[in-house]
Amino acid sequence: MSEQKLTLRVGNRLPQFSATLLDEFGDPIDLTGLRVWLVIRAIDSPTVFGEASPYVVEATVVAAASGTVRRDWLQVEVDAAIPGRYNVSVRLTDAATGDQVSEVPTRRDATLIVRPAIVGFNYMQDADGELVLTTGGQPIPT
Amino acid sequence: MVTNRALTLHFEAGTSAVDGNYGSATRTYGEATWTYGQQALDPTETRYKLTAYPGWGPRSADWEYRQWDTSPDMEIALLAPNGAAANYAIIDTAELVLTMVGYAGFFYAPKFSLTVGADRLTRTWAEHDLPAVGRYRVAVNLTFDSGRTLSVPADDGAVFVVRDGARP
Repeated sequence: MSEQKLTLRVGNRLPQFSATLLDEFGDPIDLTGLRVWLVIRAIDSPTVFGEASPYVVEATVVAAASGTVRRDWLQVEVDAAIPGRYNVSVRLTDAATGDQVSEVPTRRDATLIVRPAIVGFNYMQDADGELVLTTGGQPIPT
Repeated sequence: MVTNRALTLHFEAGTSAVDGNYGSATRTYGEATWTYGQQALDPTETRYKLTAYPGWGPRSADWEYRQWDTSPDMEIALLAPNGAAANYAIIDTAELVLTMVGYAGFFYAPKFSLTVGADRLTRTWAEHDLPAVGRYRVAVNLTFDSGRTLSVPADDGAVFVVRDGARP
């Protein structure tokens, strides 16, 4: 399978994290009786969403038999995100005992790419015909 | 139960609006108060691209204007990778951001509000909207009825060009 990539812009809560976990035959992993945790490891930056790496947070099993999981980003997370690349995996734990069952993928081929926010500004032309911000000052390149 | 070791993770597009009924649109989980579960007012695709309406595909420049032009309107189609149109009915607001590229030391990124139609986004230009000649990256910041935001495209694939023109 080709490397899996999900691109997110700083400040955007969409697209959400939504994934299917597959076994070596390409069949869905049955998540019945398991809890799922999203694990994000920093590659280009020391932190993940302003927190220590790895960043671990519980995700939601959408359909256990289909192996689908999901996590909606919190606004505080995406606001604190630093542009760069991150490894993404899903840790499976036994719902009853809490023991780790597995972490998917076993190959690190799932990447979250965070890109800068797209920010626009309002401009006007001054008396000399130069473009200036309506609010004054200089915009910050993104 | 997991029985073998060559396990893979495959990113999926967002679940359907029907699946959005899973759980609750807004629900507390544990001690934190956060929402989970796809909301019916969120898009179902994760990788939309922008193209000039009606969506004939990328060209060397998707939109080309002359400096000071006010016509024609800029029309934008939002397409999923399979070519399917986005659901415009769930878009609350759309903001166009044109970021000039290729000029070191000069950062120019004007923003414009877009009109959300049934099958396209439209910018009706005002008199002084296009004063600067150059090549621009095109992006649209979408806010959906759910309140969540999505910038399209995620890459810098859409191009807008303003060529020199006669000032009115």
